[in-house]
Amino acid sequence: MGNKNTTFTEEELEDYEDLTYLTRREILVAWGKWKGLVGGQGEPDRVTRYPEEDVQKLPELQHNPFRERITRVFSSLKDSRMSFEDFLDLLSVMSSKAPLQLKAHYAFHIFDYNEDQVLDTEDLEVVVERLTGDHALLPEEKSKLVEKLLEDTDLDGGGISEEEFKHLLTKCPDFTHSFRFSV
Amino acid sequence: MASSSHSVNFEDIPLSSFQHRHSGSSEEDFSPSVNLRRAQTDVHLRERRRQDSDKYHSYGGRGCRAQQCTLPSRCGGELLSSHMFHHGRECRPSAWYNTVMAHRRRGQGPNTEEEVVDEIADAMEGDERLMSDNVDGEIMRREALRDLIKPLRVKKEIRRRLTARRSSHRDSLPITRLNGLKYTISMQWYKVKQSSRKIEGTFGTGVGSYFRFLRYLFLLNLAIAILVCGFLLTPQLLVRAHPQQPSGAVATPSTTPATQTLTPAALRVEDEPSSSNLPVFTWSPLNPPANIDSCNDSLTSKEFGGLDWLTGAGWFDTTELYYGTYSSEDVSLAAHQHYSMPKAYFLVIFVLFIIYLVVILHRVVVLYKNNDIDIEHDMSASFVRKVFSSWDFSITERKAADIKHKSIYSELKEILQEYLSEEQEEDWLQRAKGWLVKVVFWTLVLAFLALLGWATYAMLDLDILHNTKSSAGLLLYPLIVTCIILVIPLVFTQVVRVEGYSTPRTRLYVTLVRTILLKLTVLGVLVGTWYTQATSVFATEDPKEPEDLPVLTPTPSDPDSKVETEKKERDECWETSLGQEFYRLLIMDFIIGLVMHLGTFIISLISQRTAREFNIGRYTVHLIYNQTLLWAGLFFCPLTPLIVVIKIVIMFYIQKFILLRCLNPDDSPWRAAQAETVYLVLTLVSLILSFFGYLFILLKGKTSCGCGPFKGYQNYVDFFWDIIDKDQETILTIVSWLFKPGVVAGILIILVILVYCAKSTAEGRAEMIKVLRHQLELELRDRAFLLKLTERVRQGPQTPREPRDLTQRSSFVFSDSKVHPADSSPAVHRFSDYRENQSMGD
Repeated sequence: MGNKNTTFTEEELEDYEDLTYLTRREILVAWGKWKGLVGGQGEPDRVTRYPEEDVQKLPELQHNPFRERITRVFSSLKDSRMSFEDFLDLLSVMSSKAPLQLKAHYAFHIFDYNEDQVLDTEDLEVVVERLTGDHALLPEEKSKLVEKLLEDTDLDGGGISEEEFKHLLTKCPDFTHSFRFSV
Repeated sequence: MASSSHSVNFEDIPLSSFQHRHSGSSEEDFSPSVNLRRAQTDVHLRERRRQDSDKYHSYGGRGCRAQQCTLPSRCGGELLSSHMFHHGRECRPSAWYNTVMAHRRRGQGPNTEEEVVDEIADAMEGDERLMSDNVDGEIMRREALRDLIKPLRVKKEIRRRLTARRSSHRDSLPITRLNGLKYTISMQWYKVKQSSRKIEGTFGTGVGSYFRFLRYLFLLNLAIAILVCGFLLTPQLLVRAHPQQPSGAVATPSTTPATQTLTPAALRVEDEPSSSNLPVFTWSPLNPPANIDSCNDSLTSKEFGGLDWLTGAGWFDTTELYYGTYSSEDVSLAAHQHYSMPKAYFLVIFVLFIIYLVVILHRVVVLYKNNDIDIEHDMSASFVRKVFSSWDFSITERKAADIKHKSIYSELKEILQEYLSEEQEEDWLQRAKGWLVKVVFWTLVLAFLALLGWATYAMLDLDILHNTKSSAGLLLYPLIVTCIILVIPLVFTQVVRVEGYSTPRTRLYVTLVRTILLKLTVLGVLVGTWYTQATSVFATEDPKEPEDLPVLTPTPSDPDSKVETEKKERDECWETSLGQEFYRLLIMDFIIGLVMHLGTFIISLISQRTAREFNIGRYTVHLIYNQTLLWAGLFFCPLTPLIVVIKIVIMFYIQKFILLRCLNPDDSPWRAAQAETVYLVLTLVSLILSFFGYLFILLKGKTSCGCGPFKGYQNYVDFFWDIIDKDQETILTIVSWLFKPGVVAGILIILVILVYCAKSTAEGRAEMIKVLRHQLELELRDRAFLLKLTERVRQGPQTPREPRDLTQRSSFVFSDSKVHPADSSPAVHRFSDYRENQSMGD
């Protein structure tokens, strides 16, 4: 992997290092992974935006119930296609060094299925559905759960806004542990 | 939930869009009023914020976090940066940020990506502090850019522009050969490190927390082992290397000149005579032992047998592994420097305990502060946790993902159950029944433990174990104990399922507590029996109680050997034999652990499908048990830390291998953050218990007069009296000074003041939390209000009635009236509704 450093110039690496929470070698590892993901033949380049199916081959995403949301949120044009830089963004947020608020911001948008900037009943039901996977809850159980959740957390009615969401997560020390990749 | 009024995309509405549309009168009417209101709130906020951060200094970061930017209008509809949130000191947004916000307020929000770049880049350029050419500016720029919540492409573009305009020339050379090599190497190292992270990837954070705990104990024990080696082992080895001279004689080897150049002061700085280039000691036994002759033969070396590794007896008897071998002499160095082994021995063990205590206590407090406090006071958090942070994003395996799904499912089910049962309000009969079952089970378990304790005691008395002098006989009994300790927890795990605890977490903790109790019982009985047996022999010196001999000593069966045995008894060092028992327990535990892991491995090889799960709870308790053995045996076998360190290292690699090869992750809900605290608390308990055990031995215990650093003393306490006698003057002055009324009163007053301060700080913080929560609620209402305003304005031009309402409204915001939940319902409020509500509230 080490001899592929020629793809980056010193300056580019420095750029990436400064702009993300990754270290140099993490960036290089990321490049290796990226090549493994999208470069079937030949050298992939950094600007081309690859379809989400390619990106979702990443082991961490493969079994993640929110994978299509992740690719969508991190795609810079919001079309679920990702370039290498978007991928770096993803890894940066998922690194252990990223602050809670940043993680919370992206988590919020990942959970916000209908993209109305608020986590409402609709979103939460989908989230719960995804979380339980094959073991589906009954519809009335689901709605009961969501109702309770909103009752407990929603201060002003109308769903959980991003600010409320962040506030909730500050009380939840597990979140930073769970919302990261182990790479 | 009628979320229609809120489900507006902030990015799309913001003030800009409608202001463009309704340029003209409505804009002029509207914006000053909004600005007016904002100015007012800002004043209030700023005041409050300043007070808060002054008063609750450590709270600053969080306080600001809760307050900042809750008004979406103030944020321009999106959060640009997480910059100010995670730097406690950087609470105020920086200048460029304000510029951007000002732009947006003026309605010049960006529409395309280029405009975003332009906007932010321009704003940043306008910020003098940010663009300053020194190191600070450089760092600030870096952080500002990194914390920007924007895609990397945008960030890069902004950065490019900034650097271009700062006209700093950075050469874009390709990576040099040297750097390339450096990266290659660091990549290799990274891969090595990554393999250990793989565990967390496959098994989730719960197992990760176990391994973190393991690593923590390893480091702690390593430090302790180094201390022991430095202060006890090295002096002792040096003493050994220079065999004992006749009393009073001074050994002066030929290399004396070299060492005498060392000044005593230099030695004192080092505080240990351990450097290996210092092989010279002059011997002057200040404390000539009373019965040195009778002890000499116990120090003679024995043959090394193959099983000695397991039993720790035989050859090991005379090594530095055990208490008995340590010298009771004062090692005198050079001129007037003495290294008193008894004092060193006592102090080292004591200091080690203090270190353990302080370190673990500190860690418990830190972890508790970080992870538990907030949750305890806020029930809703547990729910949030279960939904929003239940998915472990580090999972990379199909298997693990399935198990995670299942465990989340069962957890959610449980929550539902709880809510349902809350609603149905269990009648008292049922509740009483539940309690009864629990009480009965606890009694049963405790009775069982008592029985087990008695059984252990009875087992010690069994002749069969005493009669066999062979190594196998010695091993039989640690084997039984270890088996008990490994098997019974499995039973507990099953029992607890019947009892009907509501959550799996309680079940886990109950099992954990019981297992710990079991181990403590068995260990306590063991140590207690050994101890009483050993001391009673030497205290009464009554040969009529042959069954009370330490396990090592065979029961005298025929009268001929009686005299011999008696002599042996005297020479026998009960501390050493106790140390051997601990050694055997540790080794046995290790071997059985190995066998079990091997078994797991073989089973998984034979049948691929029946993979067992990695039970974190059991493994953790096992680790704590190890640690308890270490503490209990530390005095008798000072090298236990070393043994445990080696053991932990080997176990780590074996467990990692087994885990990755043939185990499934545990599906019980094991919260990483809290679990670590629980482990440590349990460790702390075992530490404190063994500390009390030592205290008891120290105050009541008889030394075995024939060996060890304290030989020549009857009791351990005598050692203290001796020290006190020697420097009576100083100690008397210290004691008399300590008990002066003035000093006592002073200490008391200081303590009272400290307690008072701590209490009031705690109360203040609780109050603060309330205030902040309240504030948050108000701010959210604030937002809802503004959204309604925009909605209204969008629907049609409005007669300029706002100013009056707005001023009223802002006074409402900071009045202390409680917000009614009914108020905050998202019903279609008209603007006038607010006025009505508010007048009612007033």
